[in-house]
Amino acid sequence: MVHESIIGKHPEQERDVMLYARGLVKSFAMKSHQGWRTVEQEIRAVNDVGFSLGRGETLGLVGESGCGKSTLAKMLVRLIEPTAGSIELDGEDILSLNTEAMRQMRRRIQMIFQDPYSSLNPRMTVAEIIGESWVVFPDIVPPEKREERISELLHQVGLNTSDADRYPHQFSGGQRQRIGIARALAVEPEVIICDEPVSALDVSVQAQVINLLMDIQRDTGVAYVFIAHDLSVVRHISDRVMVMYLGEIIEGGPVEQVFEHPQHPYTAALLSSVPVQDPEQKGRRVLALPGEVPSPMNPPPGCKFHTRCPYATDICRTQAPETQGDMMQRGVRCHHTDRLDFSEYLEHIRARATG
Amino acid sequence: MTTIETHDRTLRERSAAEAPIMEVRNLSVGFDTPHGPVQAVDDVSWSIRRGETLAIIGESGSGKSVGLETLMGLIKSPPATISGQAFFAGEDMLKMSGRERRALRGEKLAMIFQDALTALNPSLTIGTQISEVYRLRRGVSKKEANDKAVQLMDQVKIPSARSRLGDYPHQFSGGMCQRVMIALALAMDPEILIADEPTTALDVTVQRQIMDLLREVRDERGMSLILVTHDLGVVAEVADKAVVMYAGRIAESADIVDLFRKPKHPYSRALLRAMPRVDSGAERLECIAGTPPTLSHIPSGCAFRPRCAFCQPTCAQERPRLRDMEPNHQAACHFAEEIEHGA
Repeated sequence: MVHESIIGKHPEQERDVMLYARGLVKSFAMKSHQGWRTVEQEIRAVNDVGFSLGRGETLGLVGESGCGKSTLAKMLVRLIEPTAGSIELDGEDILSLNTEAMRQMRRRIQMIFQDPYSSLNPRMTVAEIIGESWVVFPDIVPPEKREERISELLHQVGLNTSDADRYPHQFSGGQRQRIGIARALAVEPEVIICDEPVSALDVSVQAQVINLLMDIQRDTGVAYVFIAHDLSVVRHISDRVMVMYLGEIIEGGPVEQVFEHPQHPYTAALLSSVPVQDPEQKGRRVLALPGEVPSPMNPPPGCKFHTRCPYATDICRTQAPETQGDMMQRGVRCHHTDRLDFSEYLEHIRARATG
Repeated sequence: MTTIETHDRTLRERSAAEAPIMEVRNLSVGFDTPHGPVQAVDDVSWSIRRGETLAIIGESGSGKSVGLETLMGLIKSPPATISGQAFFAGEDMLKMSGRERRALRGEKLAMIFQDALTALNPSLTIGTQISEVYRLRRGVSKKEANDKAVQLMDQVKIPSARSRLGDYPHQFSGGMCQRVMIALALAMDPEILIADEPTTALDVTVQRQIMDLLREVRDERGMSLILVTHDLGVVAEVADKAVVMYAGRIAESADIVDLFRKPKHPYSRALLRAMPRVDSGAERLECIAGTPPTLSHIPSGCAFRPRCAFCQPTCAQERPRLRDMEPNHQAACHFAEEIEHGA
């Protein structure tokens, strides 16, 4: 079932929405054996996800491993074909494009990957990596200006012009991630999908790359879909945030509101569980969750979170909650959101926000 | 829902008077590599008391793991060049024979690793791996060993322990594998547990569970915990004191509150500011320029010099000693006082 309700029915006037996804579903078929018989089972990695992304905006996507956030990212650039749903970029339906038209579309949507080691071709120099997209889109930069443009891009991501002739193995993880960013910028995209771009980096280098991404956005007006499991990083870079659990968006809205006043117990538990860099908070109350994320092969009935939810009641075990509100403005998917109060677990976050 | 118990204060006050259970003095570990000699750990000293938690903080390549692996006897000389002393219960472990070290390992010192799945044997069941410890070390019968394994698995909160004895590591999730590792480490009731990035590979909610578990077993058993990590949040929540390492050397060593309130070394200061926080919003992060040095090319003088905002000519010429700044607070910086008062 695809619900219209995920995105509110009113078009948003104040935001210049460019990327618009509705009812995205990805299911994988998995074969399992029952005695002699082979049974095909459907696994829903992403279930009924919708969002909108404004020009120059950053949409954070948070969730634990296996929640489907990387699958969602890959669907947005059609590295994975969605099973159902639609993705529109400025009104044009991406999913109906043929191969060649999609290739042209990728000029507008680019991606940065998590692992800076495996996402760069080890046999190509940095200049070749960055300039490769101009083979497909020769009109972006005329051939005689390419060398100059490569230097410019390298400079923009904080590398040296002399690095152009070197190979990826000569760089550290943080520098490689910069090369990946320069490659994405080469086609002057409007949207960059960032799939865990800083999680493989050291703390001191992570801050550099986050700042770099924010600077690039300020200078070029590019929009990001920023996927991460680290809530602190998402808080820093995002304007809006969506929280995923077992393939579904369970809460969404502007980042300060979601982080300071979460309405879903899962969001509150995530926020409360993050270790705080303050030894005087050692004794604070934590909303710790029991157990682990259930397998998507065998999702629980009703609300998918009920197996770990400290507030679950009978209705949660049988009936899946509908989305209340608009996930981009302020939305939540929980039966009990009106009667829950998480403030005792989030004092540390609110104290700093006000003080 | 659980309340985090604050660390047992009486235990800490009692232990403050005691002599350290382990003391490392001037430990250096070097390797010969094709790129020339490399000093992975350079003149490192620290100590830990009973029931205390010491955090060793550093980025990749800072020598935080190598030092502890040397203490555990996982790095041997040769090929490594090891110097210095490591006293455990008054005896220098680095002078012990292989047999004596083996008697200590598991019984007194135990270690858990970041990637629990690869640390476990994939071809043996969990039950075999845990009960093996009792059978080999204590010589108990198979049945008794299995019972003890179940007890231990209950203690680390592995659900329906007995029915999972016959499962293999790949049938467990990352968090459960880490629990199995902790069970293995606790089997012989060690006095010191070394945890090398125990929660780095785990999701936030599971990380919380494992941290709570480590804290709980530490407080129950009065065990000392050495925690290696780069996550300052984990440090703040679990540790009593910390050592900050950079390029194999100690940059700063302090009680945990002092380190977070009054960091004296520019590196620790910068690290504290570079980490994004869940409890504060979208201002620009202060970042440390450049990357950590490769160990074969450590800058002269102070290793942090090329990335330091306060760098002076002296820093290139003279290597800063680790100096006492306040009681229980040392920093290796020529200008620690000026920097502290200047900002």
